[in-house]
Amino acid sequence: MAPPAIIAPSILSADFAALGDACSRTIHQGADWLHIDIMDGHFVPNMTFGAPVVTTIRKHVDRPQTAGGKGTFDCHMMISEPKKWVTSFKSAGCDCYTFHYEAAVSSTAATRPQDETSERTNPKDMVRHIHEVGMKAGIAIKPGTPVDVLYDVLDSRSENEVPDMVLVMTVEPGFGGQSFMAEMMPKVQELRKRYPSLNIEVDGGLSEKTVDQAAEAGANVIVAGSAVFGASDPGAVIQRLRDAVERRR
Amino acid sequence: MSPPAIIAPSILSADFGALGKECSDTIGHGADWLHVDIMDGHFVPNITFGAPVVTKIRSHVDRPKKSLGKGTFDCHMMISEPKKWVKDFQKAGCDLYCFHYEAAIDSTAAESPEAQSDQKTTPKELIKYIHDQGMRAGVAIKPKTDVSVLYELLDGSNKEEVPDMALVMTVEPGFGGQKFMPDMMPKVEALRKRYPNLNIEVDGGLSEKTIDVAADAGANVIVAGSAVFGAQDPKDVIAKLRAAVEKQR
Repeated sequence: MAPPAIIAPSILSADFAALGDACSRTIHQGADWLHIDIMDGHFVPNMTFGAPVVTTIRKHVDRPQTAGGKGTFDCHMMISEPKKWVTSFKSAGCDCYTFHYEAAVSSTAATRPQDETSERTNPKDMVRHIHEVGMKAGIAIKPGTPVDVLYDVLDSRSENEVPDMVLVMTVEPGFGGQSFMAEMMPKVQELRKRYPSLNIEVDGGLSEKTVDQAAEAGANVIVAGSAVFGASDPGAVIQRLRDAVERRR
Repeated sequence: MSPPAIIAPSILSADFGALGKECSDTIGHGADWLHVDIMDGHFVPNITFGAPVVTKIRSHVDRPKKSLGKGTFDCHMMISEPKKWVKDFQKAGCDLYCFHYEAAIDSTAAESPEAQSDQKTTPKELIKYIHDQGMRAGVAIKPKTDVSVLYELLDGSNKEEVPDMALVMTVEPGFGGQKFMPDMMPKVEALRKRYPNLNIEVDGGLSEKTIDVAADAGANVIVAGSAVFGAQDPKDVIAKLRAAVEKQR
């Protein structure tokens, strides 16, 4: 049986002029996690926020009482040098640090924003470092990336190098409000088949119209932006997304 | 006589959980402009916000009625590819696009975030491009950059390539709350002597304690972050900063 449903609204669709309220409200409306889209304008063609904003909104949402529990900050790092920012995001209150595979295979091993090194990191090194700093680690793949690139790190013998979550993008990362790509579902199916207990997250175009497909394929962590923040009854939307996943476990 | 005082509080020190209210309040307290610190984690070791946040806060502050009037959004672009983001920021509501000289001499000529180009831009080309897009142009220099690099731009015979403002950093860019560097004042003096009518902005550690030194040197556009947003009486601080500049004109 797949793990329980986790509903993680994305603040990319929230009112940035009143983010504190938007975050605490969505948690009260039934959200489990907050999905925070960090974009640096280099890895993706958009810039959103950094650690200073995360620090501020952290004050508006109680820390999770258990690992992965309610109030978890799920930071989706669409940035080109993911290793540089691990420590600052831990300090800002991030609980799950999800980096992109495509960035991890070609980025610096430097562990602070001001540092330089010619050494490169890699997915296993990233996951190990995130765990050492004290967060859960997620690894994300873009639509053009095949799912099998993840098997090496997911099958690692060393527990410290195994990610706690995989994020399968169901749109090209960079903007909210895009259409769900159903052709990404085979990736989710493959992962669920190989890793029955893994947290598998989907992000991009999820709504009441598309969640059944994602749940059917085996996704259990649902990111929804405009579907939740744009709704007249966000609480009802969150509940329906949850039901769709729970029905298929 | 140098141009009038312009007080431009920096939202880097505002409450990011309630940015809309913070921005409208500070304008209500007497601020002329809003100084918006855009950092991409590459040009400086910090990530703050991008165009989506600017779009949201723009709706909380009336557009200036005349060029560089009250309500001007002065976007300080601490990013490594300043030409890529000009259009996005114009759409987001930026009035004055202030790029860094150090970035402009070594960055792409590509004109959108998703575009690639082998060609490089130049400060003159970038200023012309910013003007073509309908914004005013500022050029900023970091502490270690000599002020003379700006003379070629400011002496240009083609008005379209001449910046509307020079920003002399009085701290190393990247973070709020740093100490004012008085050894930057000779740069301000040199600029004021050569260009009596130029808007000369100073940013970093400005407060009631340090304003006199800056005003005396000839700065007229004053960025203040923690001194305004951290104050018990922001209205009073803004008035005092203004008085200090007006006294020296």
